[in-house]
Amino acid sequence: MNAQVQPQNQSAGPVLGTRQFLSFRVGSEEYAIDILAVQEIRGHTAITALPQTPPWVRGAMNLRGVIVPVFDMQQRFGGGPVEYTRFSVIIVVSVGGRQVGLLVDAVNDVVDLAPGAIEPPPDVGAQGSSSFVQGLGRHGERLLILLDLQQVMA
Amino acid sequence: MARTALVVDDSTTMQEMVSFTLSKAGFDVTRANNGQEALTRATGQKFDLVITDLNMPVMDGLTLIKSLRTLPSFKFTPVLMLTTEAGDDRKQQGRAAGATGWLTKPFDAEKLLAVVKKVLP
Amino acid sequence: MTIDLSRFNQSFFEECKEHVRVLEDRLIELDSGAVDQDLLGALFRAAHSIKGSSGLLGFDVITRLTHAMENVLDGLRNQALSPSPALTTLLLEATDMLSRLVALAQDNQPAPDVAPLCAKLDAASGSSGGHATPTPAPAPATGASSPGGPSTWHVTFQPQPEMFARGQDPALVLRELVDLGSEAEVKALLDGLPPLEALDPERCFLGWRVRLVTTAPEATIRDVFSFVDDVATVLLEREPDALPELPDTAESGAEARPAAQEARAEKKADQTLRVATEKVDKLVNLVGELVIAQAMISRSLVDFEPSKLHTLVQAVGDLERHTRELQDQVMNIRMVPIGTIFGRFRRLVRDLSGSLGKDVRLELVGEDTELDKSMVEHLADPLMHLVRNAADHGLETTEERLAAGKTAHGTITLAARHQGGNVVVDVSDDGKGLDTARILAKAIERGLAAPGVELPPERVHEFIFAAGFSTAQAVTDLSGRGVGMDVVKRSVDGLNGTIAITTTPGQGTRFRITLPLTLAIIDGMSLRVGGATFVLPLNQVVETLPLSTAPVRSVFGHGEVVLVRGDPMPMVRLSRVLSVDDDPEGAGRPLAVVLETGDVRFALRVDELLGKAQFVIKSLEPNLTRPDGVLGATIMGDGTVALILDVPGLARLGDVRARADDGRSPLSSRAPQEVYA
Repeated sequence: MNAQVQPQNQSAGPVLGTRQFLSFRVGSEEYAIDILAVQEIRGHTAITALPQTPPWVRGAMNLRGVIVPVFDMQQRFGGGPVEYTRFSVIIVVSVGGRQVGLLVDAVNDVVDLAPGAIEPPPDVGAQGSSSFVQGLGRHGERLLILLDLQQVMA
Repeated sequence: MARTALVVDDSTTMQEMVSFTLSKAGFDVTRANNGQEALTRATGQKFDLVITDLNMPVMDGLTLIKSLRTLPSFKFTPVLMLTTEAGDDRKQQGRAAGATGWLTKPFDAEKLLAVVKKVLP
Repeated sequence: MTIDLSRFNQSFFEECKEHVRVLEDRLIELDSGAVDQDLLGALFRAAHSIKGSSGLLGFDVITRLTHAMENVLDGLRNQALSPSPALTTLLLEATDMLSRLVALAQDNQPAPDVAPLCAKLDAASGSSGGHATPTPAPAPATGASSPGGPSTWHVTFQPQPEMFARGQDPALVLRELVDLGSEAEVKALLDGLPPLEALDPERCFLGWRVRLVTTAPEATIRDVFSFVDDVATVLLEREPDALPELPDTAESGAEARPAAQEARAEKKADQTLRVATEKVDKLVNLVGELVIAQAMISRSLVDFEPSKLHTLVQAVGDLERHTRELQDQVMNIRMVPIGTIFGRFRRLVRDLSGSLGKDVRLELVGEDTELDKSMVEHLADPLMHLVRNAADHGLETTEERLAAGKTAHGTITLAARHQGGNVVVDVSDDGKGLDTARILAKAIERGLAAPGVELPPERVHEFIFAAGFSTAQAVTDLSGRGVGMDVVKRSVDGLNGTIAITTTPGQGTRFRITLPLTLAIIDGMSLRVGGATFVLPLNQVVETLPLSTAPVRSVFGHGEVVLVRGDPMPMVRLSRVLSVDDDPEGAGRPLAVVLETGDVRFALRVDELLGKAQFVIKSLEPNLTRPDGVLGATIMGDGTVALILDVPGLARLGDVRARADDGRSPLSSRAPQEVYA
C-alpha cells in the first residue's frame, strides 16, 4: 500500500486514510478491489470467445456499444475455468483508461478498511498468483485478499 | 440550518475566492486541497453542493466526481466543476463522470452564484 | 453582490511564491534525465494554477507568461516535446521573470514587457501565441432583447430517466425558464410514466411543455438547458405570428442571430457537415414512405385473418426496403466530394514548382467522387506526401526532360473514381519512373533482400514502403522530412485500404490507393464456424462454393488446397489459424469462401453462411490488443459481439502469401498477374 497524503485537520468521521473496497468471491476465497476502479457490475451477459488470447480471457462482451474483454478470475489466478451461470457476475473495472470485465462467482459488499487493517502480502512464493496480491485486509472475522488491478490487467 | 458546500481546489487563492463568495451567500463551507481529501470529508458528512477543480494532485476532479456518485449520500448532490478553458472535451468527460454543471474560469462572484442557482434550490 | 477581489491578492502572492519554488527546484530535474509523469505533472500544475488565479484577479501579464509556460510544459507532459538543456534554460528564464512579476505586482509596480519571452516559449511549444489575454467572460445576456418585442415560444423538455443521477433537478430548470418570461404556462407530459408498481423514484419519467412569452433571444433560452442538454430532449418552437414580416425569413433569421451564438456555431464548425438540400429532401421523402409502410402494417394487423397474410408480407417487404434505403441515404450524408482536399494541392504544386525550379502542372480528375468525411480527412496527408514526392523525385529537371525528348513541363495527375464498393485514388507523374536497380541495391544494403535472388520488379518497388527507406541521395527539404513512404503506407492501411505501384522507366510512376467507401460501416457477410459467428468484409469475398462440389486435397507440407474448377487454391481453416473449432467432419454442408486481398487469393472453410448485411465496425482497442486475423468487432442484432475477420491477416496466419512467393509451392508455377488478372 502506498502512503496517501493525509488531510491536515480531520473532522469527525472515519479513521484517517480509510478506503473503500468492493469484495467478491472466486471459488472459496474472498477478494477485494479498490472501489474507485469499479465502473459497474453486470449480471449474466453474452460473451464471445476471442482467438489468440491467454486462457483467462473468456471473451468479449458488449457494454453499451463498447467491446470489453472479460477475464475469468479463477483462471487468472491459475485455477480452472469458472462455471459461467445465470448467477455469475461481471465486475467492470477501469484502470489506466482500459476497461475490463472481471468474471467472479459473486459480489459480496463494500467494506471500509483503515490503513491499520491492511497487512502486507504474505510471502507465499509457491503460487504464481501472489504478484496480484497487494495486501490482506482484516474486516472483523473476514480476511480479504486485496488485488493489485494493474497486475491483474497486465 | 445553513446549507453546506464542499470546495475542492489545490489553488488556495481559488479556494478562498470560492469559499468566501459562498459563505457570503449563506453557505457553511468546508475546503479540501485535492480529490482524495475531499472524498475523505465526503464519507463523513453530507453536503448540499460540491464545487471542484479538475486538475489537482493526488486525486483529480473527474475521479472525485465519479467516486462521489458511488456514495449513496452523494447520488443526487449537485456537483459543479471548475474548468479553465471552455473545452467541450472536458465538459463531456465531466458529464460522463457525473458532474451536474460547470463554471469556466475566470469568473466573478456574480457568475458563480448564478451557476449555483441553476443547480441548487 | 460585488466583492473586492484585491482582498485575495495576498494569498495569491503567497501561492505564486510556492509554485515558483516548485518550478525553480524541479525544472533542474529535467536535465538529470529522470523525467517522469509525476515531475511533469507537478511542473504543469504549478504554471496552470498561477494562470487560473492570476486571470481571476486581473494580473494579465502573469496570465500571459504562465499560459506560454503551461503550453511548453503540456507539450513535455504529452511527449509532443522532448526535454533538452535549451528548453530547461528557457523555462528557468521564464520562472525568473515570473518571480520578478510577482514581486513587482506585490509592490504595485508596473510589469515589464514579457512579449519577447512569451514569443520564445510559444516558438518552443509550437503554439501560435494568439492567447495574449484570457478570454473575457461572456457578457450577461439579460440586456439583449430581440428587436421585434416579445415572442411566444413552445418549449418541450423531456428528461431521460437517468437525469437525477447527475444531481440535476428538472424543477430548477423549469424555474429558470419561467423566470425568463413575462407569461408562462407549464404542462406536464405524463406519457412516459410507468405503472405505479414499476415507478422508480430515483428515475425521472415526467416531461414538460412550456408556453413562454419572452423578449429573451433563443440563445438565452437554450442556455437554461446547457447543463442538461445531453440527458434531456429539448425542443424550441417559436410561434410564427411573433416573427416580424420579412421577405426572406431564412436569411434574415440567420443574420438576426445573436453574436454569441454565431461565435459558438463557428467554433463547432469542424464537427458539422454541410449537406446538400437535395440530400435532405431525399431523406424527408424516404421517411414519408417509411411512415406509409408502417401505417399499412398497422392497418393490416387490425382484424387480421390468414387471407390477409400476403398484404402483410408485402408491407413488411416495403418497410425493409425503405429502411435499407434510409440507411444508405443517412450514410450518404457523411459522404463528401474528394475535391474538398484536391483544391489545396493546386497551391502546393505551384509552391513546389517555384522552390524546385521545375515546371510542374497539376491535373485533377474526378473531384466529385464522394467518400466518407473522416476518410477524406485522413487521406489528405498521404496524398500530400505522394504529390511532394512526385514533384521532388518523380519528375526530372526541365533540362533532363528536354534531353529525353519530353515536354518541358512535368505533369502530376490526381484522379479519383468509384470502382465497385471502393474508391480508387491515383497519384501519377510523367517523370523518370522508379529506379528498380537502385532500390534493390539499397534494399540489399539494408538487409531487406538477399543478394543474388531474382525478384520481380513489383516486389522490389514495394521496398520503398519499408520504414525509413529512402533512395534520395541528398535529403531535400521537401520530401526528406522524415515522413517516408512507410508513413503513407501505414495511413492507407489504417483506412483499411491498399496501395500499389506501377512504374515504367522513362515514362512515369503511378501510386494507386484503393479504399473502402466508409470507415465505420462495412458491407459484410456473416457466417458460422463451429459455435461462433464471424463477419467477412464483402468487398474481399470473390465467391462461395459448397465443398461438396470442390474437392479438398492435402499437400504435404503446405496444408490443404481446394480445387476450384480444377485449379488448386490454398485453403485456410479458422480451426488452424484462430483455434476455432469447426463442425465435426461430415456434419452439415461446409463451404469454401474465396477471398482476395492484394495479389493473394485463398479459400476459407466455413460451416454455414448466415447472410449479408451492413456492420458497424467497433474497435477492440484500447481495452484489448487486436488479435492477428481480426479486424475488429461488431454488435449483432441480438446484442452479442461478433468478430470481423481481417483477410490479409488470415492470409498471413495461413502462410498463404509465402507459398505464392517461395518458388516451391504448387501454385507458384503461375505468375500472380496471370492468376489474378
